[in-house]
Amino acid sequence: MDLNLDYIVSSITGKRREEYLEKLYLTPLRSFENIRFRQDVFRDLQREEILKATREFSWEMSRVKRYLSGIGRLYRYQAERWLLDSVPIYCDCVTRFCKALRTSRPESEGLASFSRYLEQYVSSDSFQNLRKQAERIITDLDGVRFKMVISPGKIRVSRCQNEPDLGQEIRELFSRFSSPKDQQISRKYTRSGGMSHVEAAVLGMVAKLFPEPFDEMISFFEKNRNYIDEGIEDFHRGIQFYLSYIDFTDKFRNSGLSFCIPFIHENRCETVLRESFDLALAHNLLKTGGKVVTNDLSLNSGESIAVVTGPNHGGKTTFAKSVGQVHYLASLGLPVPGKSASISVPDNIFTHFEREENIDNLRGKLEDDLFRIHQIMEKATSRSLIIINEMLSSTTLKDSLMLGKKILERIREKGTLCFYVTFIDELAEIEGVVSLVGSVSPEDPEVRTFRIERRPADGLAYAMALARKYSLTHDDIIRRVGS
Amino acid sequence: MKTFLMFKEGVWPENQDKPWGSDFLKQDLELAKIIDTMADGDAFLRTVCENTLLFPLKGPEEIIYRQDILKDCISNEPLIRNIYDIVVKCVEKERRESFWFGQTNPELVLYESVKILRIIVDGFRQIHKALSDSMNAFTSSGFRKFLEQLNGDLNDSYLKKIEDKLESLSFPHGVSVCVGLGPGNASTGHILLGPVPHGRGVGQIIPLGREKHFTYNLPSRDEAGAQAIADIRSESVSGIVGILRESAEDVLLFLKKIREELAFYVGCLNLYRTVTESGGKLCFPVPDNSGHGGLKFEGLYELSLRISSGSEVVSNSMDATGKELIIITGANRGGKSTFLRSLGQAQLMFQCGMYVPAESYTSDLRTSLFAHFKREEDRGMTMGKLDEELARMSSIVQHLSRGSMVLFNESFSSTNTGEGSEISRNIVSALLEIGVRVFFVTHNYDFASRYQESYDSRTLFLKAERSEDGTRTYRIIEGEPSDTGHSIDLYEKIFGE
Repeated sequence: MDLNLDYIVSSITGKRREEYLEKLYLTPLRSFENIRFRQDVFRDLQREEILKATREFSWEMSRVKRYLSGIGRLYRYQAERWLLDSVPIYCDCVTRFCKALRTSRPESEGLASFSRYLEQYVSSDSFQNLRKQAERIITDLDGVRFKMVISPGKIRVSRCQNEPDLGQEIRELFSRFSSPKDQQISRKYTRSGGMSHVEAAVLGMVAKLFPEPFDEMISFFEKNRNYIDEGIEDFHRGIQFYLSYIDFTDKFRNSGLSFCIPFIHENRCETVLRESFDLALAHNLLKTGGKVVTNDLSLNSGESIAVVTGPNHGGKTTFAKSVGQVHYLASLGLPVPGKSASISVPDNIFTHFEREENIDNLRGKLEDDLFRIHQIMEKATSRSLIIINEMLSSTTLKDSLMLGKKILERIREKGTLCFYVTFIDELAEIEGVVSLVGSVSPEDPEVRTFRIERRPADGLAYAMALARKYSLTHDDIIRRVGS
Repeated sequence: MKTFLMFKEGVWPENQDKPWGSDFLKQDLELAKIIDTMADGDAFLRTVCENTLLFPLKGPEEIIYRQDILKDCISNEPLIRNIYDIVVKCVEKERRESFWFGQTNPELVLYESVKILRIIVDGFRQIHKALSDSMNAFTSSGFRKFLEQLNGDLNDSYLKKIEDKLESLSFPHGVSVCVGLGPGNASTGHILLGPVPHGRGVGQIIPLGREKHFTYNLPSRDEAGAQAIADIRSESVSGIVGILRESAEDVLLFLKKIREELAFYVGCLNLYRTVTESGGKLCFPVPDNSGHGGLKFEGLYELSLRISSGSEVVSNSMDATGKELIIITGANRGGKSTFLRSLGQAQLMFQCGMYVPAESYTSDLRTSLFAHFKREEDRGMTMGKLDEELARMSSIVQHLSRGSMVLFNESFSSTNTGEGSEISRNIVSALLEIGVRVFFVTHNYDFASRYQESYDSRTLFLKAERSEDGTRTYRIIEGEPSDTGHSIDLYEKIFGE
């Protein structure tokens, strides 16, 4: 929650709103193999032709499902036709996808094995017959034209005769006024709602006027009530996980941000990120048109603790969140924000963010802070990740420094990877701690760059820069007073 | 169908936006008063006249074409106003009666479309009647074309055909439609069938009732069913509704185009009446095609001043043929700005086919006209004054072309003389090379005198005239720059010393 993961997940699943999808996004994988499996599929989907084909397939399959979804609620001759109409769409998209996979030869186990499955299915007689039959019946039905004469309370249905097209007559009558360039954008009148009982009755009469195609349609329906292959249906569900994430990340790519498939270490090793960013914040910034700041991070395998300091609103918390997000997303087998990433997948991500004091909570704030961090440290292992944001602010500086030091010492002993955002510069000076600092623009110290850099904590830099801007540094004052 | 009262070929320019800089022109040349007089309180006239005035024609034939139409209008004023009123009433009635835009109920739109078409057909009939006795009163080719249309494409028998067709759209024998089956076997591809014309295919058509058919009869009290039948009917007519609505829109567009074209001439009539009734002179200008930069006029006066005062104002005459740079210096409040405005006004009116406020006026055509007048300090201004002037100039440069004309009024005077002169000379010399005609009112003696020293036959110096005793005549005459702006005069006059 502190990492805004729920917001990110709901942004990803957005339109799809499928429960099983959300569940997938909320279940980190514990097995290295499974992460690899998904990463491989994503690697295949990075190839334009595979992604395009997969999207098309998914889109068309969804269309087929929409066609079939309402069949139980429809009138006679209507339901049968919806099923019939869905068959060519299904056959086309399956055939096309099969062909696309054959030519593009996916390397991932996931897509390659589905490709083999499809080959077999598409070449089967039953599949080929399904398509041929459906197409023939549809052609016959398309040939049906009938005439209605609508009077109050009465509709007379018969076959069409050779009668003049009134619209054409009117068009010709006024043709001298029409300017050639603005070709009519015909505003189509679309009736809301489905078929009415009157239309159903008329349809019944049409079926009697044209018995052959309607009889064929009925028998096709009865034979092919559940024609969709189960394996294909499963794949369609599963692939939504990948596509939804790619759709989501495309928005960021279009504005110049990168995503990459992280290099995953099975054991604690280096942590290197290039041009990473906070996904939740970037998502909001894209909407408002703001500029997203990216950050690099480089910790070698021996460095497990990073202390982040710097001016207020300098991007410290955002940075810490982005690190947490990268680890979380990687553990789902997903590409992560950034140009490249090399990380170890944590067995657990713990966050300790500043909380509003809870009146129902009998513990004081300091106590609550300590209680929570203690709980975290009980559970954390050497393969975990802990992100701490402004802990222990409700005590004196001296005390919180002392406590912070102790806690960091214990975390280090455990070997847990830890990012600690704090305003206490001295924490960054502890032996073995990597110091990361939020920076300000050198030209105008009031402008924060929101970049986090690896260098010693220098809490005075901001104040010194401001002083220079107004020529009030030590040297400035000596010179000005001296002259 | 085209309309021919504004453009010879009946083709309006694709981009009808006012050219860039129009707002500056309007403000700097005080066009508002002129446009107001043309509009005579009518918002539509104001828009049309303003747009036309600020949209210069590019060829002498087009100008003469409009001048001829305008001459026809002046000699048939009551008739023109009458036709315009008919058209306006027709368009306004349409607007009052129609609420079709945004309507989705096809039957309602159908009903509205029919009604609107009836209104318009009626309007055409009235125009026919108004013109029936005066067919020979018009000599311009523009009006001849207009009359040809009325007697040809829009003649009585065509109007009658429309009325008959509209009658059949009340569907006295029920709505007859041919339909196919679409997705989900819903009806699709509705083609509305017209009544079978008498005498066609007698004997081939199976008499109604004998062909194989079924009839759905709505049970009484089935209200949902009644609604469903209404929906089917709506869907059936919807195809034709689009066509009918487009037709109505097309016809209406034609009528509105006529209104727009006539509006310009009615505006010209309004202005003509106001000026001539108070004794002002107006003349039809002569386009100069010689290619020698023609510009010659007599009795040119500032029209908006004339309108405000309602009486005679100072006028100027001169022959500036072949002059590309005209520098105007001299006393403050000596009539320099007024003169500059009168030039701009006349050129704009000339290039949109109007008469001009002068006894005679000959000029070549300019591709575009720009004004760069000194601005009073703008309260909302975020830039410095010189910044603002240069930014504005930069925009003008971005939009001008060979053959343009730029009127400068005390530009770049918000800095010191040396800098102002340097900036001005940089700009002016470049404009002259491009082939832009420049009028420059200035107090910058340094700038003016440099052009004086390097004599060029294309340069003309003008100055505000002063009589022997030092009083101003407000006339502009030929004369070399002098280095005093005579502000002291003004001071003395105001302070009475």
